[in-house]
Amino acid sequence: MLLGVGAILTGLVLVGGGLLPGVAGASAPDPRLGVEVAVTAMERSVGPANNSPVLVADPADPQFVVLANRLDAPDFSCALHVSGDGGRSWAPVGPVPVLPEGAEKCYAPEVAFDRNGALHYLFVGLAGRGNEPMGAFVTVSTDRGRTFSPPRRVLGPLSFAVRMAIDPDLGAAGRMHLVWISVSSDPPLGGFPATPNPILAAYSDDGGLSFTQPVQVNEVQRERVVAPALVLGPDHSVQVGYYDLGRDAVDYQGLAGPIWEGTWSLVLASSTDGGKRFDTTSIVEDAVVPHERVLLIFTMTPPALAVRGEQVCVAWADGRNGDADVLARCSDNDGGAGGRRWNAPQRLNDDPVGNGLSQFMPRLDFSPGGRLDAVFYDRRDQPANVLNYVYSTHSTDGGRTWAPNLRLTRHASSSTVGQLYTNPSALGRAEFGSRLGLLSSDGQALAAWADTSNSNPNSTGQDVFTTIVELPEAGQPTSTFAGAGMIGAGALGLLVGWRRKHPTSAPSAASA
Amino acid sequence: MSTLGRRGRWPAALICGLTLTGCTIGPSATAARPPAPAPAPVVGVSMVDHRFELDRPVPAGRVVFQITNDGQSAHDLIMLPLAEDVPPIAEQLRGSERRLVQPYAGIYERPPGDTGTFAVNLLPGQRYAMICIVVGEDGEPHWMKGMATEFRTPGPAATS
Repeated sequence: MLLGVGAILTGLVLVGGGLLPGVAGASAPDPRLGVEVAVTAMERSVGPANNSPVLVADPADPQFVVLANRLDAPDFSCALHVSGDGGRSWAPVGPVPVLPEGAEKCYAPEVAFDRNGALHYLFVGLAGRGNEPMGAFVTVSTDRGRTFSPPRRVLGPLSFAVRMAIDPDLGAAGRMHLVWISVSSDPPLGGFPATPNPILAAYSDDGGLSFTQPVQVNEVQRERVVAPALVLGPDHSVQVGYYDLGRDAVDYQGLAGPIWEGTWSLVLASSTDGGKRFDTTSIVEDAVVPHERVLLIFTMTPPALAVRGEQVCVAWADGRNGDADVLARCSDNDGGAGGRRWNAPQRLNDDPVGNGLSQFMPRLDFSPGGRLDAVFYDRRDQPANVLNYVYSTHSTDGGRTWAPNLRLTRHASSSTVGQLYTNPSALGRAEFGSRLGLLSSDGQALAAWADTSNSNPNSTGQDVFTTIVELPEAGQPTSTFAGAGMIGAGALGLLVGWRRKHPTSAPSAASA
Repeated sequence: MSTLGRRGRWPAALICGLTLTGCTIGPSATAARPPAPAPAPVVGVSMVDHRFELDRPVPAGRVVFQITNDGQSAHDLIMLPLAEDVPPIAEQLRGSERRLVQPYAGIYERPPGDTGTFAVNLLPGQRYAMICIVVGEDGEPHWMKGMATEFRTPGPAATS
């Protein structure tokens, strides 16, 4: 839209005054925080929607860090930026200058390094009016992102939620693990088709030239399995977390209706033989309370996973306290004969319980020294529960206690800015992506998020920003917020959770 | 064909039984690698009462602007591309003739001491303007007081 200069001036003054009511401010930044760094390029008239960043460091050179993200507007696409200084500055690179034959769009990138520092970039090719996945492809750079090999197809059509990770100590230059949801037939609008649509896994020891026969990750009796997350342990274990939606066909099929009033299960499937089979299943949480409709089942936010030695930690958003909170549980063993033992759910956000304000989309990571970091979107700073900030916390005792929350972002991002949905399950709502980026190292963490603070309020514009926060290492004392207050909060949470699970009114037809 | 997971099945033809140890998709990565690509240049912008101060010339291509409000009042920064036949920005803003311009990038209002950042892809040889549209207590927009500047990126302009 073209406007006269005078009209622009008037319009922007009005817009600027109305975007962030009551939250703008210039309080002194926390000394632990570095500057905010804009990674992706904005263009207000177009509104590129950059979201869902993932951060990975080269194990051979931790200062070389890459950030991959997807775009939802002006059309589905994907991006990659590289940093030679640990995420303090970024350069755009082009991993897919030419789409492979048959692919019309690049989407949902994943990134990993092999043992030699080769950068593997995986993306899903979309095609057709329905933007169906026609395959997943991997392209490789051995010169730090300057050039990439021609994309090689590694998965066939209708592979959703594809994840990639590389175990650097196996295979010729690393074992490339893939996990994905294999859909049996063309999906309906915004939902998965009739089950079974299992979560599968396979791996390659030759850089993606060949793969093992896929194995099923989820237990056969779990049918509505979605949003897998993949992490690798140092002992070559492969951990896949996912949600089992149980009887929730409404979200699974993308139907219209209210928030599902039942619960989901959060499940961890483990392979202890390098991915040959997933023969251990542990229930992380059997009563996850949905806090909103799943906007789009294909891009549903996966649980956050982090692994260190035998310990696995999992975080997720949960509505048991009446609004979305970020909860986490950590195991204290490897899940051997007796199964994994999980600590009680810890509420990571330290705002008042049940205040109606949302925290969601957590990401976890361990530093090499053992500090466990968490970041999440947080709307505590605005009563209308619309504006997102990013908050962080950390634990230096393996997830038993957590430090007071620290706000990482200086300016609010409106959750109404982004690509708007037209499917029944999320009509009119904006897509804000499926994940945050987090890369923990000793003494600091690098975080990445989708930011709309510079975007026109009625646009799709989302920029990816990063910042570095200095944090104490494991073993160093840190103040915590776990204590009597949390016990009381937990009791209240249990009461609210019980009420959610035992509604006094009968379920609606749409949720039955 | 070495793809997997076609519509939930994995016919044998799709399963690679190859064991090409040592193979990778690209060339060997064991050789010394070049340094990381140069990061996008950063241009620092200080917003004072009432002008923009840039700490370096603005290049073309990907550029990151890091902005600080060093003034005593709130300011914003709106970046606009300018066509060649548009008069200098200060003259244009004060003139009666209205031209069609699209806001390109920028940050919204920041109080004194606050910061902001954005990244853009700037065309070579292109004129860009920065203006502050905050209206002061005296009713005058800051661009009227001098917060309107322009620059041209180096390099030949693209011909249409």
